[in-house]
Amino acid sequence: MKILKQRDILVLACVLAVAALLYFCMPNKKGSIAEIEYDGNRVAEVHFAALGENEVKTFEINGVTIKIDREGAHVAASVCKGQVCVHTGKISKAGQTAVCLPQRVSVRITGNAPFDGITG
Amino acid sequence: MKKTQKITLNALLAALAVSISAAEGLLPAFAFMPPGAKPGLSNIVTMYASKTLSVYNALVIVVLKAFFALFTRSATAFCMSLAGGVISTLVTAYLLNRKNGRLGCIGIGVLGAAAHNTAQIAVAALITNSGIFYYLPFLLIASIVTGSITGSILHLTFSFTEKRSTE
Amino acid sequence: MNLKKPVILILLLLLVLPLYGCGQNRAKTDRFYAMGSLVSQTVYGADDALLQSVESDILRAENILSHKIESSQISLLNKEKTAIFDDDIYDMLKKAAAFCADTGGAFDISLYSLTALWGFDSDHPTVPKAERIREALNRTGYQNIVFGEHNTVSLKNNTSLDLGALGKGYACDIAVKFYREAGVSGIVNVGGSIGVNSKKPNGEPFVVGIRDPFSTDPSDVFASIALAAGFVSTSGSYEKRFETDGILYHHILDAKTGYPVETDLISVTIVCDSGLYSDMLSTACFILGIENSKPLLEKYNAQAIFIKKDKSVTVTEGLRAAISFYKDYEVHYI
Repeated sequence: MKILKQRDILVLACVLAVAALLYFCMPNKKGSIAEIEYDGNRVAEVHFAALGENEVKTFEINGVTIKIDREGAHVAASVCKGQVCVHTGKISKAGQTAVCLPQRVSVRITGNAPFDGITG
Repeated sequence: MKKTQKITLNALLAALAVSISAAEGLLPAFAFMPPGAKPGLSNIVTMYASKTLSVYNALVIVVLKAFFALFTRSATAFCMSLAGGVISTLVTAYLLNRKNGRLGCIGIGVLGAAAHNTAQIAVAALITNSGIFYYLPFLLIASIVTGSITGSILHLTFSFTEKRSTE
Repeated sequence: MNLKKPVILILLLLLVLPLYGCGQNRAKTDRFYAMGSLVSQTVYGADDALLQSVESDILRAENILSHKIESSQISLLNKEKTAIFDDDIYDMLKKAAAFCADTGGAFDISLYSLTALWGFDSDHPTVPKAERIREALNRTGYQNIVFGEHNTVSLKNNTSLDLGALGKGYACDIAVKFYREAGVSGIVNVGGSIGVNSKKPNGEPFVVGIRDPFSTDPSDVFASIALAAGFVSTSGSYEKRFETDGILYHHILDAKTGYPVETDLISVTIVCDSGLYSDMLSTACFILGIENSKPLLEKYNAQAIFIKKDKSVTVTEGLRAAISFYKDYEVHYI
């Protein structure tokens, strides 16, 4: 048996094409992701689906402790005085955000958010 | 091949497949890949088995690998290993044993890897949620690389053993 | 193989097409902190340079207007009682002062002595003593703002300015002006004040949700408005507040008494064609109440949604077509 024939290249190209197609058609069904940002820059990203059942991922950014598990994300602790971020509690729905303004850290749930913006 | 030779070969291959699988289990998680994604070198063994023995022997090795995953890791690992292994073995066994096969080892390796990864993602989606499909494009691209590697090594193995058997 | 070449060509096309099609109208989002809140903007079919321009202009405005930044022009004005401003800021301040007059002083940008006393932005706000409030009241009043030549602004009677009630709306104006000039569809959200330019590339308007003031969940929406252009701002007593001895003190002060305005309203949302005015009107109408807001709404061609503490909702007629409700609140139109 040969190692490589012309058809093999075709196979590789097909797999690549399928991967590319999937990649570009997919973003609309991304599912639930928690994005952690510091100073407006994305620092970490966790896919809820990729977490084990009791797995908890902890992030420590600029004095803010964020914990993410299958059910959602929340700010566990923060060095800020107001503690608004901690009081926000657990967020899990797409579009929700927990923000620590003084420390400029935020964790946001993305996915299928129906509203382009929320006022109030 | 005589019967005893077959049995010995089976046992050897099974042990080889399991140990390669165990060694790979020690690798850390990769970027863009779901945790648990591995190069899949043990598939070389199952592919070799499906050509030199039979697809049934190869499937037995796959089941043994899956049970090894069950005992050393978890039930989830068992399902993933079984699903990926069975699908990719069926695919590669068919491609390898065709009378007028028009694909080289690399092509077969890539298709086997792609089938393996897709089957595992499907099972993972059933267990968790469909969000995991997000990783599929990246896994498919990876399967081009890993499939090429396993296919090449498979080809080398065939060359070696064919030379040997003519002695 | 005769099949090979055309098949490869088709595969290449399959790879290239999605790249092209998706790139055209891909949404680009940018997030940063300004005006005391999280700013988020999303534009369609534009490049990072546009997002950057908006970001730096909004930050520049904050560095001029924020009384919390010691080196800002406003802080300078509050300290020295006189300062010179750039054309755009000077014009904006004139409009704001004129608006104060329009509301009969109910809306006032010169309440810094009061807001500093109450300290709603601090960690432990407390109720100031009555004498201190009286004393602070003497140092307020939009009539003390004098506009002079060469873009000079002066303050009489030791008055100081707090532009917190218009900063977010003004930032939205900055962003939307950029989007309009670039001809792109975009939406900006400055801590709840929203500005929108044109419909989305797929022909649909932007959908802006209005937070349910009775829910502690900030993403709990009770109604939404479909917008193809315009600005939305909301003022509510549920936003910044604290409780002492069983009494709730919210951050929207009555310029006459110096205390949080007493009203049966819990939130007011304004929709109009200016970010600055949507922000100012939301605070003004909250203070004035539904009846007294009517002439203002008419003058500035604005639409409004008033929500009372008893959960009754009053909506101006102009929004009837654009609004959708997700909860069962009693609604009537005026």
